[in-house]
Amino acid sequence: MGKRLQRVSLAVGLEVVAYGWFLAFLRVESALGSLALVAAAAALAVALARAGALAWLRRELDSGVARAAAIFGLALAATFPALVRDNPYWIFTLNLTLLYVLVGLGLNLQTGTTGLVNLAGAAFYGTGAYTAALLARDAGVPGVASLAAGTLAAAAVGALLFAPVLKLRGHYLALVTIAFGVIFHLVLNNTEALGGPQGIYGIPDLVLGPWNLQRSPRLAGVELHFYANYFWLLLALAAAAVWWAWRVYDSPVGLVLNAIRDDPWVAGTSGVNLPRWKLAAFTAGNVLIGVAGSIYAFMIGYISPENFTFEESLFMLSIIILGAMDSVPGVVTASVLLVVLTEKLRAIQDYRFLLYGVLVVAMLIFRQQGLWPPPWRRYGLPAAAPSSGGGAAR
Amino acid sequence: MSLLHVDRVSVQFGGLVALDRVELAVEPGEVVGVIGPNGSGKTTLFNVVTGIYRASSGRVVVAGHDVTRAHPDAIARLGVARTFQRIRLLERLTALDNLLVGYYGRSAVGWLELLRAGRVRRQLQRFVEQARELVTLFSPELAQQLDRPVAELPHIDRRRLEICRAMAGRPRLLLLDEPTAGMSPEETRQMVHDIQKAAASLPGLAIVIIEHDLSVIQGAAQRVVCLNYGRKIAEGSFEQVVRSEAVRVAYLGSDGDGVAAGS
Repeated sequence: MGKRLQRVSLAVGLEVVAYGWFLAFLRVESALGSLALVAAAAALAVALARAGALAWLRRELDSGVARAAAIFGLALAATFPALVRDNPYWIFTLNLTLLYVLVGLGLNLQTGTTGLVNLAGAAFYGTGAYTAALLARDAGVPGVASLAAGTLAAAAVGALLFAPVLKLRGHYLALVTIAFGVIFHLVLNNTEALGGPQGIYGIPDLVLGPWNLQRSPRLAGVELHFYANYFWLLLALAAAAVWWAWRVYDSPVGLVLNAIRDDPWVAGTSGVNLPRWKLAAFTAGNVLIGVAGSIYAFMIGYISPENFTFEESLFMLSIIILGAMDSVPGVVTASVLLVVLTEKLRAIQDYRFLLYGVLVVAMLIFRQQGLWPPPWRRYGLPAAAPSSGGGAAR
Repeated sequence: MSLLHVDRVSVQFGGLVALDRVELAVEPGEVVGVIGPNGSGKTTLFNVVTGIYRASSGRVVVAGHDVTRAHPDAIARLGVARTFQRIRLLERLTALDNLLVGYYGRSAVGWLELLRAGRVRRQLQRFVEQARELVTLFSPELAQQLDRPVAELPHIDRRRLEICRAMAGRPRLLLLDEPTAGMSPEETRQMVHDIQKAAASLPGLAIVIIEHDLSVIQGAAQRVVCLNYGRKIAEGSFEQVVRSEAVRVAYLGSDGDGVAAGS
């Protein structure tokens, strides 16, 4: 028991340090200062990793304390809106991050796990957003129902699109998704009923039961920006999605989907019904993307075709490329990096893109497998002999 | 009723006739060897039986079910399993993962069942134990290394894993495509012995084995079929087949020293 307490304290301590660093990073105004903080953290991380700290950490933090660490981490994260209440902009940024976690997990299930390259992430996101927004504004559909409808619409459109190409092999699905993304954008721009290029404005407040998410919450007499509501909602959803995605990854389902991705002949001759599982994975991924899109519409209150372009789809896909294919922790890491860094680096304007270029090239040279490759599956079984370590060798 | 009935099956790729009205019946418990020069259609025969290729004409019947137009997974669920001429493993995964595909291919748990962690884990533990027992028949050392990535394993272990994956789903018909390719005579003998040992745990299992090494066929198969240019040119006992005139001609006018004919 003492051992366990020690491990929990270690995990909690690490979380507090990381959180403190993150808050400091957001506070620092100058670009130079933030770069220095990033460099310091990166240098520390690399040095520790070289010293074998990662393997040690993985052992120390294994299963037994994972749950306690996760609960504490969530509680810690929930304080975020209060700690940056003078700057709602950062709450908004973190909300975007959480939305991208949901989207990234969906795309990862499709592209990373099952090998179904989806280049229309933004279009499915937009399907959810437009459906929810139109239903809420023009049909007076209540909040929960609009969110559910937006989610279902994204999933259903994906399934309809997917059914005809199920039998095709290779990259046909990727081509079909590109076409869908372009058509989606064109249709939005040219359909009066969908607002045309002006998009949809005046999206009503999101009300879930007694909770109006557009009203500023008061906590112990302190008023927070209404973004805090969305932060908590998205935090809960993202946490649930991460939990579920990990469950899928570390299970026979994730394995079967990997088999489809890596060798359809092996999967097929082992008895895997390929069309069924591909459709299931694609649809489940779109559920996550769709629910994120629906919430996004309510949060920003105004959506237009320009939110759902092909470039946006590419950005979404870059999350799983940067984070590592089929990696749940990779999606979370890359979402935080890409969204927060983008906002942080607004100060240095055009040099941002230079930095992206450097980042991409550096990744391709030094770490093609992504930032956080998935660990070997253990299926929640107790560890046997010391395994050959994480997927870093891939 | 035969377990497998390949009924006058032809496979054409454009102008090329890969299989030409091939007839083959396999009974439960039988071991049938398939020989023939390179490009004679042996692997095509496996591909058409497992649903990877579709017959241009003729029928494939497995245990009374016409599977001529069936997809590979449906055929696998009837109890047909196979290995591949060039080993096909899921290279990014561990040895255990690869074996579990054999167990879960037929019955992966659904999304909702994932919520019932206890049940899923018990089933998994059972499969892991079975996998370890099965691999132990081939190599006790390998059975201790199932958490290793398959890409790191030596050729012979990779072949063992592929065969174990095929046997994992307790098939009725096992199709082995050159299981001893690239192995030394000693390894070959060992592999054949191990396959027979493992097959003994599946009563009634029928095996069709493609081999270049005729000594393997001689020891293991009760019946031999020889293909050449997509046609069946001989069928019978090993001695009958290697002595047949057609087979000698097919193997480049060999003087009857059939063992040397393999390449």
